[in-house]
Amino acid sequence: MALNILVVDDSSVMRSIIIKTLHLCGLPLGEIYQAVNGLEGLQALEENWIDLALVDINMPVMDGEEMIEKIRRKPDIADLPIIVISTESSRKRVEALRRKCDGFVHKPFTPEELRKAIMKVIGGLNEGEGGGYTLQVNGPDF
Amino acid sequence: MKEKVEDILYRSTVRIFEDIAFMLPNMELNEQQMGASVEVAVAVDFCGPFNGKLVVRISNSLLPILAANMLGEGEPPCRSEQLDALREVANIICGNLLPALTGTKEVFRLSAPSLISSREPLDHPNDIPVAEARIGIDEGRVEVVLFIEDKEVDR
Repeated sequence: MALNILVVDDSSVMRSIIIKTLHLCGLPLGEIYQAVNGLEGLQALEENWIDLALVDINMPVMDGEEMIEKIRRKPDIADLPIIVISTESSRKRVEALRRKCDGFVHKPFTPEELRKAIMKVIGGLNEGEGGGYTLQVNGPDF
Repeated sequence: MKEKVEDILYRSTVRIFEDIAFMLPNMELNEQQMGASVEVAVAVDFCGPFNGKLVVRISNSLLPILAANMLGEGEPPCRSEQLDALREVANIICGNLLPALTGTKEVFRLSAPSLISSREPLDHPNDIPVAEARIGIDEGRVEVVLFIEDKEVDR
């Protein structure tokens, strides 16, 4: 099964970099959705089945932290795996963010760093014979 | 103290240009780089233990290369994406610079990077430039200037 991923970042260049990196990760990718702020990100989650969200913090309209807090309060998506990708370096802030999300990647990042964070978060991945991956995730309950 | 801040500013700037834009900056500018204009500028305001802003100015000729390199494309993207690339560079430099200056215990809030006039900081006498890094890349130049509203950084 392929992973549907939501990328939330106000920078279109950073979204493109993240998406390119995802394609380099050898992950079974499904749809990749993009949002420019937390509000758009929440809308994308309402409208689509998403397996993983990669979320920036410092964004206009609604920042990533508020978006994550809202996700955690919604029973149907509260368990969504979320990786924060941010320049945030304050230990206190990073620790607070880590408690709310499932992984943290500091900008600038290498493709390998992002890949490792995704692999750690997506627990149902098993490395296949050809170096590819098979994925076990639960689909939506209809 | 100023030398130390400037050294950290230089190292943060060089690292970001190398890591995310695969550009090789030189700190000893040649004549052409010294004479190059820096026409495009973005600023990131921040608040925390001290308030201020980081301004990144860049030669127009470098902007398409910066954006294309960040995206891993042979051809540069449209102008709006080129500016977006510069905003992201400024955001990452600022986000990495402040903890390098103060340690990771301090908390800073960064505003979204905004495009400004390349001469704008000079119009605000309350902003004190505490450090400046100039790097040369190809035939252009990048200037990164750290402004603060007070002198607490010099304590």
